[in-house]
Amino acid sequence: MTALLRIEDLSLGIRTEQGTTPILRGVNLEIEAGKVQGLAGESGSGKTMLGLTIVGLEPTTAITTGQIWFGATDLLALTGKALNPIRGRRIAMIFQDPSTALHPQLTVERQLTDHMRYHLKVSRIESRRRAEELLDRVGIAQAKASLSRYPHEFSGGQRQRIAIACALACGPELLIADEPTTALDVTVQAGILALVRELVDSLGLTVLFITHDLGVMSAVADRVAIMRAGEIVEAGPRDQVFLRPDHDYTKSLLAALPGAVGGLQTRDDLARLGGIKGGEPHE
Amino acid sequence: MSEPVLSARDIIVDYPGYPPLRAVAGVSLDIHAGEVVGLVGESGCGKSTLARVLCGLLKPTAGEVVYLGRTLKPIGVAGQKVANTGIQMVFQDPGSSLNPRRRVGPQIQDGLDAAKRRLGGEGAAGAPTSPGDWLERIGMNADDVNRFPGSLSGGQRQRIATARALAAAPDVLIGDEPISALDASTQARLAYVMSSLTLAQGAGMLFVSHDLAIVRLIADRLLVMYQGHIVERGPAEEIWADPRHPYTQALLGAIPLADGAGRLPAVTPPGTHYPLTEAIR
Repeated sequence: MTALLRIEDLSLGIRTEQGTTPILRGVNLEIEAGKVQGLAGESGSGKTMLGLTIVGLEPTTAITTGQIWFGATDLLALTGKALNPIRGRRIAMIFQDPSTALHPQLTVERQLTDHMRYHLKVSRIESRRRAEELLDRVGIAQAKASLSRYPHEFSGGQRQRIAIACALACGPELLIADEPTTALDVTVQAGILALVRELVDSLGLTVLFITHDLGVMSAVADRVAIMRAGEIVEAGPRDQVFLRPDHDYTKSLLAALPGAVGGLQTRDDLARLGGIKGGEPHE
Repeated sequence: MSEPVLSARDIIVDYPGYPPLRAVAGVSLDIHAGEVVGLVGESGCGKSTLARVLCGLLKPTAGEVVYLGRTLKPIGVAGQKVANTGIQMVFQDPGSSLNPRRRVGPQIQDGLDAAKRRLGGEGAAGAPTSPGDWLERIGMNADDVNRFPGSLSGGQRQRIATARALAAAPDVLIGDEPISALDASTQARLAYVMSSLTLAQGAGMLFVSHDLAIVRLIADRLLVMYQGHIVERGPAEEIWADPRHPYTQALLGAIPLADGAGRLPAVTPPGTHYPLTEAIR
């Protein structure tokens, strides 16, 4: 297995007036090239912070230790402009809410071509041609006409497709997708998941797919890591984690899900689960 | 079957605009005591609008809501009529439906007071009579009465919102996406707590959600809504096992299951339109 990204003993704390709040505690993770690495966890588990830290977008009050190896480069050691040749070009990111990821006052063409011209130094005509190709690639109908339109003229699912096209514009090796389908309806989500999978299989793209939804994880990921309270408690191939989970936390997550193996199938299962007092994991 | 507690008759809701947007396009439904009805559909289908009409928060453009045999008048500036406090609602975001500056106890007491005013005497028979007892019933500690909503987790706040609603001894509880903002492991538990306590009080429940996988576990009957219309209705297990309407089929097929099989959910081409007539079961 060739690891495209290797996270070694990454810890992150946020400085506050009362001291440092730990968010990530000694995370180790290898992301295999050409695969979808799923990262699942409940709210507050640190999964989003892990994604942000890879591209150097963690808050300025964060203190980090450890290494994030991207090839022979330690991303954590890079700051400011030194990250520019990597961020947006070799590692791209998409977010939960595509309406805030896209600039409402810029045309789709401008958003697709700005970073392409900066990173790849291509001409306006060439970047325009590539932008049209990209829109077509991610399934936006009438790609040429769409270039001169604005984000609000598209639906949520289409906007997420445009955000994916923006992320792909400079031909990245790694795509970090942070809850990209959470804001979408299930029928729209199905299309985005199929697109991500298709891009991985055809372009050899590597994806870190962050989600709270184990159903989504099961559909799209090759390898799965489960996070709780800043630690990865279990990681492995998809079928192993879903069918033969090792950690009690993974087992308890699956037991509370309809549709999981050993999960909720009938109302009696639900009654048994509901009988357990409490259930919020962080308290 | 007995008389329904709450019925909607040919409800139409138009939101103003050019042209007006028809959010609910002629919906009729009944909710009986002792049953959980699941109302499912995707964003923009009109399910929340319908829920707001059913509890009197929104005046329909046409049609009427019948509560215990009489027409429900929408809530006015003077607040809810005492007689109508038998319809209670739990909303999606417990952070905004609880008062952040009041302790939890008095907020549950509001519900108990509403029951006393409506039913007379000590309120509902057999139900907890103090906020502390209600907290224990809902799976929290009686000491939590002195806490503020801000110091509680989302799941705990939603439990409080449920306790407040049930303390009013409702005839019908309407939950508008009450579990959507919570973590997956909390969702199923809360859905169970809400529905089982509602049924224990002998009330009926309308559970509005986009998450069919959980709704079908707690609901006796399902209503599937699409573009303002109910396109399929029937027993929850039957619809889950054998959806008849093409929209219901697409909706069920798109749910990703955490079965570890790596199977992508079925994709429907964008812009697919489905018939708006109700499927015959």
